[in-house]
Amino acid sequence: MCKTFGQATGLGPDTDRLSILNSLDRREFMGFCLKVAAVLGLSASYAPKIAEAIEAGARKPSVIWLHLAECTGDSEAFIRSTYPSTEELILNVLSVDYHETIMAAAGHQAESALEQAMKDNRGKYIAVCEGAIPTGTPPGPAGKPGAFLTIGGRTGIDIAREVCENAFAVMCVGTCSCFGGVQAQRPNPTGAMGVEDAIGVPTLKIPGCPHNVVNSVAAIVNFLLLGSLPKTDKLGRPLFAFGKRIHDHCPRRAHFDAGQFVEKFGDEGAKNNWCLYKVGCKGPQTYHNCSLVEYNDGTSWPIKAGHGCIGCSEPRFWDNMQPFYERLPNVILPGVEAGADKVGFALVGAAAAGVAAHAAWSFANRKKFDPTLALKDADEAPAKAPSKTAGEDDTTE
Amino acid sequence: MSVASGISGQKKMLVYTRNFSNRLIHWVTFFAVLVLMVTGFYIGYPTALYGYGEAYDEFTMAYIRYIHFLGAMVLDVTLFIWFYLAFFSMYHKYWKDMIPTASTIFGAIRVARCYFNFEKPPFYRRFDPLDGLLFLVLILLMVLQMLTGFHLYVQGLAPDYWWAKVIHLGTDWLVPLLGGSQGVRLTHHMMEWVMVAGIIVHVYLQVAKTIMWQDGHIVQIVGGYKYRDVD
Repeated sequence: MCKTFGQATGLGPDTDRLSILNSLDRREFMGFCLKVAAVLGLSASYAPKIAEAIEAGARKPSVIWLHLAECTGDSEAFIRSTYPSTEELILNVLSVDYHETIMAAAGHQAESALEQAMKDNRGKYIAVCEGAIPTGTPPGPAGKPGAFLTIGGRTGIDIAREVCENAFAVMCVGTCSCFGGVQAQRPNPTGAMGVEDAIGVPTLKIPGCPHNVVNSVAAIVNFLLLGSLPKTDKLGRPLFAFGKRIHDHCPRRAHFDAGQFVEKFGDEGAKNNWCLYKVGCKGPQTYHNCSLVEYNDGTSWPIKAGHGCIGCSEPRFWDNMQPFYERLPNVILPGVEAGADKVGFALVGAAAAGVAAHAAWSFANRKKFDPTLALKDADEAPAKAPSKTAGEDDTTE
Repeated sequence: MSVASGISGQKKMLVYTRNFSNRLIHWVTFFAVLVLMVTGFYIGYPTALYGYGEAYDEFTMAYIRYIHFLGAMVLDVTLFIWFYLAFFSMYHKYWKDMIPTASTIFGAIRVARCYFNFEKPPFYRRFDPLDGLLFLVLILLMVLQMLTGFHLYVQGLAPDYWWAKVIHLGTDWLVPLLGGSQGVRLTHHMMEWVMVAGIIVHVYLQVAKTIMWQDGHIVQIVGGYKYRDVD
């Protein structure tokens, strides 16, 4: 296994991969194909075609997995795959030729593995990006743009540009590489941004914090099956996974429609799995399929565990979805940050107080109300009797 | 021409100021906004109105959202008709009273001054300029509520449905402008507070000028007539 693993990371030019597919239980493999068909929204009759596509070794895509400014959470998510199992995924479904965390090589060996992988499959490999790209310039004499992320003496933006521009397709996994994520939160000192924004290469985005491995595998299988990337929404997220809101297929939706809400964590409603809308669930604003596929091989996901969605697959969610335990964001005015309803009450209160003050003051001065004539007509030509002009409706009775 | 006397002995004459379509649009808007505010308040602060049993016993939120959507459709259609008439009416093109030109702004200041020195402003058969500017704000708020509301509504529809596509086309540009879909939600919520404040001011101004200027201003929206002083 170790030997094969080493070969698979691109250290040997004659990469003779161990064919796990031949040794794999056929039933398990077909089960995986069916699951992928389901995630892609295809009928079960596609499962054999998916199996064919995966088994066609010639189209087994080479993958270069870049680690940029990130926490490796998406690699962690990636290796939580059960069907296909991690080793099957890395070695047989894909050919992961460069992945800093799971490859055996280190140092210069690793750098040469990257170069080799790019040279061997120029224009044919899939670049998978994990993590945002810092574009800011660190202070100090040695600072150059993007130097907040430096790997082997090169800035992250340089590496990403070289790898992504020579790739067949670029897939971003995790919110950081898609939209910037936590690094890009205000005030964003490193100038971090998503891969597409930073280097201008269009990317397929599988956001989520972390992303769900089922979605990234399904996107890859879509590629294997059809030779193209899946249909995406305007943000570049595949529609099979991000076409609908969490809210629209939430297991707690019945409680939302019933008007049964958790008022605070630990109350009776929370014990009865009621809707988390009032304690800040961002399911109504979040496009993701968590509620269908769940995480960690269908074990659980936030709402199932009793915590509201924080909208992790949406752009700039660290800024936009805050506060996580309030339904609405705060109103940020210059110098003031307050809850929406406080501002609203203040506004309506000010209007009511102003009106009441004017009413009281007018009442005190009611003797001054003017009984004199007001004849001058501002609307039309001045006239003592209202004029009847052409095209006007009746003015008098 | 009927001439009546006010409390002060001032002679007054009834003038037809609001035609039927004006009044109908006003009251349809009134009831639609009322329904939208009540249901919107529930949607903003939802709670179980009755029963804490199984979810299938209640459908409160769903019904209230449905009524909210119906009210919104009524208001939006009314708003489109309002816009059509404001620009293309045979009788009076209201947009002219509502554009903040120099004369409207000076007129508005003049009318606003009248609320403090209790002089009578000139007779305005249509909106006075202060009202015109207030209505401009309220109309723009309604348009904003319509756009943000449609965007919140379309999020629950399948995106490849033609109706959803139309709404996406019309409202998606708001999302980056308002800072994400949470920003759209916040705007929809906050603008309702602004609208409540605006309506308080609107109703108060109509009542106040009716009392101060004794022209029966507030009933013109029911009957269509108000008084005008004559020699």
